[in-house]
Amino acid sequence: MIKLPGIIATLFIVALVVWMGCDLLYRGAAGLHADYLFEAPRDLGRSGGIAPMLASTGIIVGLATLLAALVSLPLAVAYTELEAPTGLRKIVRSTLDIGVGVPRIVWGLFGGAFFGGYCGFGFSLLSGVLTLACLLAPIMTTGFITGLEMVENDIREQCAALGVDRWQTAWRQVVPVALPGLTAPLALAAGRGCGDAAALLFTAGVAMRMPYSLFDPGATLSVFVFHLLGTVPGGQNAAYSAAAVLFIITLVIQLAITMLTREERYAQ
Amino acid sequence: MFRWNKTRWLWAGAIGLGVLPVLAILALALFLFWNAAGASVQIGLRELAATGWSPQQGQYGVALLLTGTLAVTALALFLAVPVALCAAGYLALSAGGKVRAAANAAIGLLGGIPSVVIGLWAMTWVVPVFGNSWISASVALALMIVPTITLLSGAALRLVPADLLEASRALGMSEGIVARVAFHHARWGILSAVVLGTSRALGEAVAVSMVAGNVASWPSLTRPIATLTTTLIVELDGAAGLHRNALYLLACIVLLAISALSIFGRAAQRKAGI
Amino acid sequence: MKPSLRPLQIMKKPCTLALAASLFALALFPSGCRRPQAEQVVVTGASTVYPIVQMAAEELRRTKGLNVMGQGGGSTRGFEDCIAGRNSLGAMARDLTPEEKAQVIVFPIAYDGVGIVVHASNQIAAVTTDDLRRIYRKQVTNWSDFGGQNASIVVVHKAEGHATREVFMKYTGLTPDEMTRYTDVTAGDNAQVIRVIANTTNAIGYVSLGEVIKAAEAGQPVRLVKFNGIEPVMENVTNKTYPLFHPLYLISKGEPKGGSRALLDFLRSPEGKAIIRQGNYVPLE
Repeated sequence: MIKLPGIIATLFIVALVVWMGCDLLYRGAAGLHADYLFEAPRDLGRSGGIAPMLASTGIIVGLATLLAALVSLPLAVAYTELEAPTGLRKIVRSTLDIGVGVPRIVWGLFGGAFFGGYCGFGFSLLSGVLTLACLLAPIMTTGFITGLEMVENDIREQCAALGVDRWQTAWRQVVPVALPGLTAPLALAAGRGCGDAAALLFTAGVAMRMPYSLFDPGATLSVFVFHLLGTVPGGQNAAYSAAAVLFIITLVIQLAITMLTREERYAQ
Repeated sequence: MFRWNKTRWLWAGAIGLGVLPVLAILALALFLFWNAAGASVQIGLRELAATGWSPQQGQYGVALLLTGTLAVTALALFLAVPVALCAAGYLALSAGGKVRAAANAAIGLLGGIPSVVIGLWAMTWVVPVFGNSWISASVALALMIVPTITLLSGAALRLVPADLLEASRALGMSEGIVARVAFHHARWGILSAVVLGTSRALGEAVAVSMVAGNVASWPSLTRPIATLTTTLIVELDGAAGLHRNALYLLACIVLLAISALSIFGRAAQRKAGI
Repeated sequence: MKPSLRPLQIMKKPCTLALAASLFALALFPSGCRRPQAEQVVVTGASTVYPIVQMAAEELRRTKGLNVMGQGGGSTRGFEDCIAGRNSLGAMARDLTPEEKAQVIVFPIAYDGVGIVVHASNQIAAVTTDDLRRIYRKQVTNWSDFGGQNASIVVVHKAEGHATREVFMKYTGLTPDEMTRYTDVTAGDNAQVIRVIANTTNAIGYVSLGEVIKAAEAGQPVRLVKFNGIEPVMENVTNKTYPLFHPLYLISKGEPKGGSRALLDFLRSPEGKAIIRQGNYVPLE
């Protein structure tokens, strides 16, 4: 009998997700014609397709994830494999904890003023990529640190006993073993990136056409949905279609994450 | 003594790269505080503590925005925590492996859905029932923090040693008592889950702004409400000068609250061994 | 378990990682490619002007390869961005103050009516200025007092800084304090107001006339009501019998050149005017 509230709660949550997905697909179905993913938007985005938005999303999320990984992995490895004074580690850890919690709109404020204004990039994919990378880096770093810390110390001790230096130990031994646990933060970050509207609204802009260089503005799919609901008159129907596509993308990424974390458990 | 060989250079390079995220966070904090300080000096603490927020008339009172944030978050927690803990308890303690994996995937999916999509759905289904109000805002928020709390609590509960639970069962205790044992053992992890869920709730802007009504007022269940973050997102577009800096001040307050919660939550997580 | 282990092993191979990295690089290629670097015109400001700019943008991109990006934010933002150099042209939906006029060059391009809009299911057919005053001062709070359904009126305002709000305020004579105090919902750009009303059956709001007509055409459940006895249709805005209207401007800091000039010239050409009419605005003759 004690199980009952639990079962009800779980079913309730799952039912909500399914309802949401079905509702979006149902309402968005009208706009989802055959070429939806390949056409450009017409009539202020109220009809046509979302091809430019998909391209912008791919570019911004891909580059930002790459950039964030490029700085997060060294930080995480340095944090776990180097012996730094405890005070320094505490500072780094606290800073990262703060960074993880910063609301996306605040990153958007900062990114718009710093990358857009001060650095002079204006409304561009570049501003968006840099801002999103700043947003994703703390999350990725903490994820990587968790993954690295899960590797048992035997490896590190054996290498130390054999006289292998820290760098080799870290990158040739520990990281490969930790690799399954390191891919999940990447996928998670990609998911967060796709879903972001607040941080990119003020940095990558709301341009609804195909960006041809990193200095062009480009709306990602989430920004596009927000824009349709907020600034484009009569845009609500088109918003449902784009939201349906977003839902499916989130679903795919979630499946990838589930697969990756299953692998991790098996590999151990 | 240090010898500058290749390894040292490599580590230096790695640290050079790795320091960038930290720098970015510090730059953000500096940027916010600098602008917010400017605004608070110009507006004055007295005026800030007032209840009227009307920038065009020169009023910058944040009191009602603070109460709005607290009210919306509190109600969201009230709605989300029971559901999340029940689900987490069931999945961690009673459900079979496949059921748990599938449910976790679905819950993870809910957690991954972009905030603008949740806002859109809430606008379609929640607003017609409850209007643009406090309740609608909290419902939308609850949708977004249930996954965080459920998954983190679930992870904490899974860490409870199996033999402890088996021993309890072997001693003839009911499932209810066993559950209490598990929850007690995992209390730090569960606390951290709730705290981290709260910090996510505090930072939400997009979804809440679509259903809350965005009017600074004393919290009343079916009346519209404004929070720090909804004010930010509604007014940021058109704000300039002092108004803009005042908005940065709002962002500062949010950031401070979230930072405090984040640090505490993560520390609790580490204590729980997650 | 099952062959699901194989992907993991493949992933571990450095070659695969390198391959993934080069795929990423390939994804960047299109963006790095040199295409004819078209000029970028950024227009921010009044959300009422946004559809005009956006429609012109689509046309100009097809015919001249010009890139125009529009964004909302309200008239005041349009002005501030303009003098700060953050945009190429500012969009404003209200008259400028003398101080503002001194700093920029003003180009009128069209004008727009401000419509009173309710949900499509609302039975109210007409309101007068006096009715509006009473509603927006919360002296009347139920639709039944106007012969409509028995439901409390949800009063929707636009956020500060938006010209439509100021036009409404000036016309009805409400004080700024009353505008703030008796609000049920504050929305930002025009589309947000329409969206709120489309989803709230008892709401009333004031929005750009052209945008409501567009939204209704797009199937959203919103309706305009007769105001002071005048039908809220484009003809009445054109012949100036509809009482609530305001001018739309594009402003520039200094003489507009290049893309900005092209955009301005286009909006004053016959094709541009046709597009403005298509959007349910009234071009300047």
